[in-house]
Amino acid sequence: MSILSIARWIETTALAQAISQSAWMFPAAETIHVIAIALVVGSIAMLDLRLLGVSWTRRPITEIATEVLPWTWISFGIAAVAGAVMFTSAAEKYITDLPFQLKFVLMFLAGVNMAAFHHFTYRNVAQWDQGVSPPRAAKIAAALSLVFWVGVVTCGRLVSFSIENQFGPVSAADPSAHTYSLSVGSNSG
Amino acid sequence: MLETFCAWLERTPLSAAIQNVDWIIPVGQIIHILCLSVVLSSAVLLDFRVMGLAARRVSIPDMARRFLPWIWTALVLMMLSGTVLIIGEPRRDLLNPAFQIKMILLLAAVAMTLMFHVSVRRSARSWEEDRKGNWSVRLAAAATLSLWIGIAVCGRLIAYSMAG
Repeated sequence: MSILSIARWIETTALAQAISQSAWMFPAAETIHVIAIALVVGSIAMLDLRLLGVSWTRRPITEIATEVLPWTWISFGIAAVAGAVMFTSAAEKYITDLPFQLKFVLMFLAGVNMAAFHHFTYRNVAQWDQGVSPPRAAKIAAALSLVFWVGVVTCGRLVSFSIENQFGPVSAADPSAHTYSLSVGSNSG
Repeated sequence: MLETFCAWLERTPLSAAIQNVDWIIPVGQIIHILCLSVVLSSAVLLDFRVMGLAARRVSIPDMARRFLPWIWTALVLMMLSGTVLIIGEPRRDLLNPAFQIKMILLLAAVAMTLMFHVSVRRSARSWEEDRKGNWSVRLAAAATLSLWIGIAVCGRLIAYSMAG
């Protein structure tokens, strides 16, 4: 069974059908997705900026981590669920979309970077917890994390330029969008 | 009147340039959403702190010093990138009910944040003492955060509630 046939099968499920026939489900999922990803990136950036020695340097790194990471993880969970809802509605289009594929590559890299940082560098955080400037390995991990997550958001935004569903948003770049009329759910193309 | 303004704006060379260069609008949107993540995350932590629900070890004036500059800077960048998007597609935004509601909420959120900023500056000591029992302060923080979330919701819905 190929990935494409799995994607096609997903589109036939009751959930996928419900989303693509509903006027509000896709916009609702997308709005939740955007807010959740904003919190993921913003909260992880707070820790990254601390590791880079840019901001909140008077506070211990571990304190910021315990404060901020629950927001990151909870928001990531919400973004993933909302994203999955959007995905089912047009699984085949998404899976064959370049920005979408790139987004997942970047998320994978962000995950690997985070795991490596946690296993190797963060293990002896006690030695540099209070210091303004942590070791170079931590700074590199933080910079990579920022780059990967900014890339994830960038690709995420570009997905909607390459994919258009009749239940999705009207493409901002589409000049014919100006002729559409009225309210939520009535747009097409 | 707004219609006439849109019709005029659409025909300006600047608008034409934005429409014709196909990367400007996506880039404007990407900058806009990255700045949203700065504003929203900063507002969540700051307002939760004022509500007494986060970062209790840090004083409210310290939190304000940490986050307000980021909120203001990101907001300026959002207004700039947003203006580019409006000039490129005036009708998509200015005539759009979701956009109009968003602007009203934005005015309110900016006013609330400004009042908080001024108050923290003027009477840092009383904020230092953490007005834990002060329900009006907590309520104001909850209201401000709700406004930011409302702004994000309306922002996304602009793509769905197209006018004219």
